[in-house]
Amino acid sequence: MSLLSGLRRRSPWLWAAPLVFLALFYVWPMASITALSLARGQGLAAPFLEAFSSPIERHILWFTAWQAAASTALTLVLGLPGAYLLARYQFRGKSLLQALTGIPFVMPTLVVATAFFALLGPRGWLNLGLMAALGLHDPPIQMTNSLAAILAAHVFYNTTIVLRTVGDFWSRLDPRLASAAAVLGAGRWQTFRRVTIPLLLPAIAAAALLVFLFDFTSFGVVLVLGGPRFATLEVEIYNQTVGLFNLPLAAALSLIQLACTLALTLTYSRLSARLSVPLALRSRQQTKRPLRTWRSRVAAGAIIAVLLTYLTLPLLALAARSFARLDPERGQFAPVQSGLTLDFYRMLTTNIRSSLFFVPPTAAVATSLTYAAATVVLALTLGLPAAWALARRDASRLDRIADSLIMLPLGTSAVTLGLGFIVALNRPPLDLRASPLLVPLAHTLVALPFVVRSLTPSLRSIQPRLRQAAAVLGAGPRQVLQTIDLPLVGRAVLVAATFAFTISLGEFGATALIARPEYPTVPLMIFRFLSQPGASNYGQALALSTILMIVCAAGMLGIERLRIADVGEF
Amino acid sequence: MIDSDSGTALQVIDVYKRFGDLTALGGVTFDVAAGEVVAVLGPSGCGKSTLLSIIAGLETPDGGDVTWMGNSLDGLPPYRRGFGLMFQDYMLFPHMNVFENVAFGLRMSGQPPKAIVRRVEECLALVGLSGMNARDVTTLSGGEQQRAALARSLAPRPALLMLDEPLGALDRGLRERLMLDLRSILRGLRQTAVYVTHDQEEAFGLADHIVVMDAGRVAQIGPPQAIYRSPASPFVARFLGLTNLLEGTVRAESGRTWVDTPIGDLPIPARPTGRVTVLIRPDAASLERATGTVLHGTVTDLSFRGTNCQVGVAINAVTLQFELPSRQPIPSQGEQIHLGLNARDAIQVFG
Repeated sequence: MSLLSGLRRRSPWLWAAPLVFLALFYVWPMASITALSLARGQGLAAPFLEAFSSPIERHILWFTAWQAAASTALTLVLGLPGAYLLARYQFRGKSLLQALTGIPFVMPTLVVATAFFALLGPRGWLNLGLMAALGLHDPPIQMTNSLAAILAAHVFYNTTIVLRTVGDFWSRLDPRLASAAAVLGAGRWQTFRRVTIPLLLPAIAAAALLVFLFDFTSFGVVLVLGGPRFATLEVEIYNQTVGLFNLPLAAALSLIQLACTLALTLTYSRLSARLSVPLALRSRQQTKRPLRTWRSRVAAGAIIAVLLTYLTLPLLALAARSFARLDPERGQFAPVQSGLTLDFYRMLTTNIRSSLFFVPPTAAVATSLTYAAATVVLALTLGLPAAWALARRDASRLDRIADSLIMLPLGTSAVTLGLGFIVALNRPPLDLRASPLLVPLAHTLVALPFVVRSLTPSLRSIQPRLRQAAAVLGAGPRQVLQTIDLPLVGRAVLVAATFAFTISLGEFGATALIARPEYPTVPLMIFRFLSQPGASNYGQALALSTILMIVCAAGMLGIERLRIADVGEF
Repeated sequence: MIDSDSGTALQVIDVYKRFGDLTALGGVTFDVAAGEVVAVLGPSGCGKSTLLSIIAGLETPDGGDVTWMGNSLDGLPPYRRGFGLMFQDYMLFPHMNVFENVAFGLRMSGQPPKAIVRRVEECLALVGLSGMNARDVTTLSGGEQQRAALARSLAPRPALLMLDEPLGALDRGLRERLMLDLRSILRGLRQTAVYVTHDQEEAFGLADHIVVMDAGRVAQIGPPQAIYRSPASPFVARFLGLTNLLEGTVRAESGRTWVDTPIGDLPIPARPTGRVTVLIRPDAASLERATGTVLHGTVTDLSFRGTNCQVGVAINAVTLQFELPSRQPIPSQGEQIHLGLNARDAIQVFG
């Protein structure tokens, strides 16, 4: 018997550390939020009554819901044709297209927001180009601080989900089901309406729910691109906490948010369970065909062009804009020496205004890297035993309950988690306000579901038969561990670590509430630069965002390469 | 080729189909008369499923034509052909129950609800699935799925029913029972049908005519007995399980003609000299009457098959297989025997 299978037997012990962690840093903060919001009114309905009685909060709730619905609908409009193309056709450059369309999903919100600024903002490529072409003094297009910018960024962010979830399901749906309908007399439209769409519906619904969930809890994008006029629940919780210090109202709003997101998450996991019910699914190779007719080539070309333009142009605009000096510094009247420059990157290391409160951006980079490293260690320490317990074929009741508990933070918005930390961890016995561990703890909470979900299938894929095969071939227990277990686990651990690292680097919502002002992370630094006027602040936001974008994209591509075959759910 | 009282219904005329470098169909021609079942028999990859797709309208041929009652089907989409196609793994719609699956084709032709209910009941009764209306198709057994798929194909009363290896996914015992059911259903409806299979027993049991295909071409067309009694080529013989094939040379001298083979000279009716392949039918040898052409050999293996016994006989380093009736005395392993090839069609020569 190998060391690993011996470990698996002691499942209750495997859960000890993860469950203590969740109790202290998830259950306790959420309970504190609930207590806080209940403390003022009477009864369970108090927070809801309070929030709903204010017309402002009612409006925010309504706006949160309908902008999420609109974003979701637009995401489906862009994603479904792409999902069809990827599911049913084989063409050159397809894997590159899949990799490129996957990048937006792993981008930190602040990077996405800055990227849209760089493309469509008052000093973005589009406006600067139009101003130069038409000889205007003011930017002609007001895209920022508008609903359009919010929707555009949400669609940019989440199209990947539709492409992956629906595309993957579609690609395994047997095309002969449609042929069967055609032979029975169903025309193209009827086949689509009565066979294809009903069969795809669970996948479409699951994707739409997930997209809706992300749009509903969107924070960074709305905060930066929406400006003062637009606030989602998430932004409002942040404003009430940081701006007005109205913690009880923030807590009430958080509870409403939590109720909504947990309901959505629950529905989502029900739906994804249905997706794994065997329909007439086939191995993917058999369902793809080449683009034969010129009409299909033109249609495919159009879909690819729209997808690639939409999903890569903002990021390219960001990178390009960070190397270009195009507009004057505030108060500068001399004509701009426009051209390529590394100035914005150089500025990151210097304190131009000799401000007393200046934190050099390089220090933020160091802070972020330290936090990310701590998050990796914490998330793996907690995630590995949990994944090991879950990887057993005969999951116990404890395993199932603990599993759904670990997934809970995924259905909780980042700002709510941050608020929970503020409310719960500020007094003995757990006073962590000044602890440098506070931020990594929050990041671990966010990263843990991803770590466990990516580790479990990989660990499960190490079948006992693989070990037996090695043993029959003459490998002793130590050699089995060395040649079978460690190489397979090692890759999975590396993938999980990369997830934890990039999630920590990009996390903004919780960090915005709990980070100490003198130790900002990179996303916080970007936010500061964006909220201050001037070309050099803007330029530094661009430069920092570009660095963050490259690190996260590299992490994502690394994950894709390291991943063993098809296992893993994210 | 086809002699039936009714006229020709389906004509496949010189159909070609290429996929990239691969020629799936290289000029296939055959007819199907109204009310008859034609089996397309061939090994996997011989193009028989492609042929069904073309007849159904799911693929377009690169050359040639398919006609129905004398009219070309060229350009007619599958949903306007009024044919039925039963897929190999059935392709039941997993999001519909048994009733909805069977009713699908009827709904597509816009029939009134009452007529649909009546017709579905009728078809389910026909295939022996009465009372299963509300069952979820994913919970059906393999045999039940096969029956449901058959009911779905039959419900719209297709002018032509195509069946693509309909018994291929079932285990042996079930296959034989369902084959008999299928046969009586098709016969009872006088259903015009094209039946694709790689199993000669299915083809023999179900078809009025058989089209044997080899690598995208028709190797032989004819009624089952005719094909079995006189296969047109060594390929057809081998595919039907007739494996006693020998290379040889035809020689003629003073009015006598024989083939010089590794097992000796075999006298044959007069024919031009040259290289040939000779088939010795396994069921045409006799131990009791070692007259006519007699083979001398050693029994190398025996396997009892019920009504007959399969005997491997080594003759000059070549082993041939023979079937001897079990009622006759059976030789024992290692025994020297004399086999008489006295049946008229015992030896067949392919030029």
